[in-house]
Amino acid sequence: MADKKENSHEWDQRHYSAHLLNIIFALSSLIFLASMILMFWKDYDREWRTHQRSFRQVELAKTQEALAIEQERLTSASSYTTLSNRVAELEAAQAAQKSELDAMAVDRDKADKKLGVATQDLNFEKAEASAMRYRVEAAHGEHDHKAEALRAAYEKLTLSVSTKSSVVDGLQAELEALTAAMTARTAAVDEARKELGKVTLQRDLLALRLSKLDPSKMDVATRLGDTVRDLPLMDALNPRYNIRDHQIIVEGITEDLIFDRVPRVDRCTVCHLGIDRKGFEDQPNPFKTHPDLDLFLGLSSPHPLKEFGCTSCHGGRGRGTSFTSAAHMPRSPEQAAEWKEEYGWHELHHWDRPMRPAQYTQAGCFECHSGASQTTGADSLNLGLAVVERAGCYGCHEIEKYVGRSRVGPTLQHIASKVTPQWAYHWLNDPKGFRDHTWMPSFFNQTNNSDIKDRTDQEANAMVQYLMRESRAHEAAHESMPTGDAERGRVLTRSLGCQGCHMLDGETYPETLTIQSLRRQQGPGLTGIGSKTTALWVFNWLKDPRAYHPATRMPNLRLSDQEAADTAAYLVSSRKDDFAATPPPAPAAEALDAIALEFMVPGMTRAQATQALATMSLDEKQQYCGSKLIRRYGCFGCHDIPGFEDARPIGTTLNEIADKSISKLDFGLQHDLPHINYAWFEQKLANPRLFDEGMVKEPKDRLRMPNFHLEPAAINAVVTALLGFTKPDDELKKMVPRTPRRIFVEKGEALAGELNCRGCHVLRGDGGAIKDSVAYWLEHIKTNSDASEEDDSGEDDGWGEEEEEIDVAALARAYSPPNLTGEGAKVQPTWLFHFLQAPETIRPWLTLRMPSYGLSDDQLNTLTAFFSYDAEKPFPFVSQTVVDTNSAAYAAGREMFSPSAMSCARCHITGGQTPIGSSEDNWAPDLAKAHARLRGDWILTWLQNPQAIEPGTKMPMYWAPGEQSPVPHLDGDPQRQREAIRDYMFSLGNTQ
Amino acid sequence: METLKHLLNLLSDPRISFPILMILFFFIFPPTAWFEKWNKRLHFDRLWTPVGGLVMHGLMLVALVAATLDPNFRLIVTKPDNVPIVILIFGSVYFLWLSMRQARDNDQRLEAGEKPDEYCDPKRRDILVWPDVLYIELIAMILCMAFIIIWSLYLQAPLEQPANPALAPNPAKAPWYFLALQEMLVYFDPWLAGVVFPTLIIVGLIALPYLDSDRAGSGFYSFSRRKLFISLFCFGWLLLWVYLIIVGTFLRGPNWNFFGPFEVWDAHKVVPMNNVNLSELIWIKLLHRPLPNSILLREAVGILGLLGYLFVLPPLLEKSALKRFAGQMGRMRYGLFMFLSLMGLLLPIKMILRWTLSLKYLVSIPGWFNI
Repeated sequence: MADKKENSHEWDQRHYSAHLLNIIFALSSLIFLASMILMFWKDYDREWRTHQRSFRQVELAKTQEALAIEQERLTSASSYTTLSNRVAELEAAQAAQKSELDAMAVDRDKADKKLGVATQDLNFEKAEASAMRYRVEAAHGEHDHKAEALRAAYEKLTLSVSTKSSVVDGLQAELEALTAAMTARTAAVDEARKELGKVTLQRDLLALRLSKLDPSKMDVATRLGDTVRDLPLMDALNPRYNIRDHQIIVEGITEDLIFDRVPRVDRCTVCHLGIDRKGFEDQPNPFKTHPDLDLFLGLSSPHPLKEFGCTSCHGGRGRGTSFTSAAHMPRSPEQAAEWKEEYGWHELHHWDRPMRPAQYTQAGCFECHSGASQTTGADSLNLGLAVVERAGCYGCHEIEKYVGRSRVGPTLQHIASKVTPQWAYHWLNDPKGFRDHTWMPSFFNQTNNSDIKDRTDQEANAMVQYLMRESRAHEAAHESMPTGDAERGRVLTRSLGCQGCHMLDGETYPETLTIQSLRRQQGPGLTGIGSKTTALWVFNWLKDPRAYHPATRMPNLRLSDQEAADTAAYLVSSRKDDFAATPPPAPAAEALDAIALEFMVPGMTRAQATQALATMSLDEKQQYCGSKLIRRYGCFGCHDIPGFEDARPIGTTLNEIADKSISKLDFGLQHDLPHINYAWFEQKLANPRLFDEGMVKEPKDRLRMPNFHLEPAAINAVVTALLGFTKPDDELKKMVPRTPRRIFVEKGEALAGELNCRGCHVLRGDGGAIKDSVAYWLEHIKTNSDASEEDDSGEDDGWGEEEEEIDVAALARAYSPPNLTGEGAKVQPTWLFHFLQAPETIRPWLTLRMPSYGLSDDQLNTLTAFFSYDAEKPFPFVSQTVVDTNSAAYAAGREMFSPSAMSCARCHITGGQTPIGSSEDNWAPDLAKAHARLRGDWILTWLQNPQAIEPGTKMPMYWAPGEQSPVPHLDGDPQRQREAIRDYMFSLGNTQ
Repeated sequence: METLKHLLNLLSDPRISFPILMILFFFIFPPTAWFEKWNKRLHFDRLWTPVGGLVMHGLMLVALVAATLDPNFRLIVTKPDNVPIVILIFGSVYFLWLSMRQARDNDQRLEAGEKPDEYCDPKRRDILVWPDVLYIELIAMILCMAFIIIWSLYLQAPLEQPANPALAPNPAKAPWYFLALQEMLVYFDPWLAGVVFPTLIIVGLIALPYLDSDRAGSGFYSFSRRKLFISLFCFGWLLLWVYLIIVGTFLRGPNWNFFGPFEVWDAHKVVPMNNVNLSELIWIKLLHRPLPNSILLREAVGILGLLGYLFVLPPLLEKSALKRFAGQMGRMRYGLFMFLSLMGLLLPIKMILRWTLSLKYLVSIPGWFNI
């Protein structure tokens, strides 16, 4: 032990080689250094920095180009040449005085420096004085005997300050004098340069921007700084490429972190650098300009970037600064593969709100605009909502937006009086077999129940039998009908406006569903009716749809008996007799027992159920199964069914469906399907039963959602709507202020959608689905009937000669239902109320008929208010225009109205008197009705410029702006003339 | 290949792997002379030779690489959360091997009548704290830092979305070092699995060296001189802790269901969970009569069994099988040792009873006491 202690300090006793340890230490230090360098490099090497670098190049090129163009424009502009020549001249003249001016400049600089020194001196003295004042006050406070001495020192300092102050003043004056002398000499040049500057402002701004972008335009120091500031490590100070300057801290919208709300910070613009700037439309992403700057991002757009950011509409992780961490989502598996290749993208699993893929972006609109039925610019969302309404999704699935909507299908209360059990059985089994575009979905013969066809046939039959047995008697108003003429009926269906809501037999459906073609499917397609029901039933239905189905949306067209009979005759001429040719299967006791047991057993034991079944007749079993099956399949979601008037919908709620956890969506064995909610929705809509594939399920547990056979465009639209059904975020809801106007417009829009006003009318710039049918009618029916009339009467109304020159579009417009855009500004609310309640004929030349909807007062008020609020017009009370029939203006009005002047009655009907001398397609509404119908101020605007209100109208513009009035009355004052005409017009109705 | 994967999936089920490992364990770490005899006969001691170590590590590495070819295995193993556990497996095996190799060397030396290596190798006998030990430690620290930095750069922290109490992840897993506790929760109520057992296991592992009164093996690595205590310690450490962490990390999926290493983590996997209490087993299944109304009568077998296990078994053993052992240790030490060991053994016993008899509780007095 002793010698060990002795030698312990000696290095040669060590068992480890110092040299080797040193080498290992050196190596490990190097490894450590390398790891540190790697750490800094990883921090430095970011996607966004690369993007910002390349964007600078793009911006540089764009600016150079713009500058060159601007320079060219200036060079060719005469004002520029003149001004720059003048500047050059004056500068040359000034050059003569250079030595003198230089000397003056030297003097001024000297004075400036002296002033600087003096000012600093003064400021230092002031600071001393302030400090001294504090000491004096403090000494006083502490009753220090030194207070007086300090006070004296302070006084002295104050004196010094005022002396130094006056020195500064003197120097200031001196400097000003010198500067004034100089500017006086250079005034002419400065003025000329300023003038030139006004012309070259744009170029100078571009040049300024370029000077900050283009290293070759920088001086050595700036250029050095420009390089150094972005080097690794140095970029901690004030880098050009950074996140801070580009991110958007969204005003007023925060991010919900469940336990807290934090400011929403969108860093998308760190890479999407050109998103809110015009001129980068031709660039690839991420530099591309937003496709719609007028609606989004622009300062004057309704969604400015600073207030909305990006993620409030698009979703995604705003704080992410890499392609993956921003939670980008591909539009298709192909794009996903592409992204993986290009950006190393993978789905960001741990983010609840990933970005919506491009095709579903419009779902974001719904987060704020959930009250609206139509959102401007969101075509896909609008279509999706329209399909949801048409298909009646809300019948089975609760959707907050549609709470309280009436059922979408026809009533089955009196089904026995309408169809045969045999037809109903086949219809239930295969609706598409009867009408390939029906909105009745398919429940049977689907992928998950075609293997139990024997059973489902029994099910279908049991339900039909239940409906038939429970069907209540329907007292039809007419027990017989006049003999109808199918040909006349054909003409009627094409003339009255049926095509606003129905597709007629023989019409082809467009390949892709659009909102316009959907409007024409408001009612069922009118094919095969002869095989479905009787002519008498159709006759009664047409005469009064509400008698059969009080909640129907089918309006009353006020058909005469003959018209109704003709139409019915035409409709039943379409037959599809092979559809329901075979009788339904006979009820099978065994199958019915099995079905009945499924329903009975949870409530009783199997033995009890079997016993109960033994006492039941076959019909009773069928009845029992039918009623239970109707509940299972939820038929009452769409149809009014006896015994199920108040049944609750069977589907899962769709409120907040977009936020539903992915684990709650049963993907079944569809492992190839991406585990994303919209992929599931798409699949569910394309084949609602697919997720049963490969699953072992009892018939009663199988998926029940029926197949609507939606086409891809419709699926895409519906999924857009579904992705919009999110948990309401109060902050986002607030973005759309709940003004009375908006509330009434939304309510009215919803009702207009329900009533399908846009099937015939253009409303708020959209609609008029019947337009093409009107064109068809003009071409094929009107021409024929006119020709036959001509043959009959031999009378020439001018139609024949003008035919060649007639503008087809204008003609179609003349025979189309009126455009209701701006209707609220045009008509008086009271009149509109009464018109909607009981339509009267305004345009007798139209064969199309405004139907009677039998609206409730509530609905009438909603629509009336909707029109007025939409046009931002007073509602409900409007003042009446008072007409003094004794005034000179009134007399002038009458004269102007007369054939000798403007000849208004040449086109307008007046008090039922149809115009003479103009063809029917030039006719215009009855002016005698104007006083009750139109708003006085609207007439004035209309007269002034009809095209502005209704482009393409045939109403002439009498008072072209800047031109003299066409008539000399009332001193040729257009405004007074228009008022006079209006007053006269208003008196027409009153006097008659 | 698929058959092999399927076989491994089956084998890794704790119901199979745990009993196998438990039996195997005592042959690898023999607690008694009998086991030691078999250990030698089966050549398990060769695991601790350099060749054995190389083969063991090599096989583990090859198995890992080969298994990562399977997408499901890869998904689980490469999860940033789980990578440390892979390192843990290799680390535990390596350090176990290192110490066991030294122990084996010394045991052979002692058998040959030599002194342990620690007394002969000057490098192990006296090392300079400064500069050698501190220098080596400094180098180790630097390398460790470099390793952690590089690891953190290439395998980034698995950050997730803002926590939402309404949306718990499935499976909800504890941090890796608590996964053994979470695994115990499957078999015991929280107060036992979360409080009593961990405390006893930790206290027991700490106490083991102090319960060993034999000084013959002190001061150097040796296995044969203190085989019982090393064996018990390794049992608590390797089987009741590390093994359960591995199971919890790699083999427990959605709904805490068991998934083989090559199986898809299907959230919809259904397994029967029909567990019964001991009282039901005895009264209904065995005696074919309804459960008695009296709680004490109903649970009598469980209560008596448990009391017997903890308080009657030790004195009985003291008088019989463990007579010599108890005499060496002294009453106090023996009592403490038996209590800790029996409590520790309760966990594997309960696990095995669950798997074999679907046993839910030995004693079940709802609202008051369940074990």
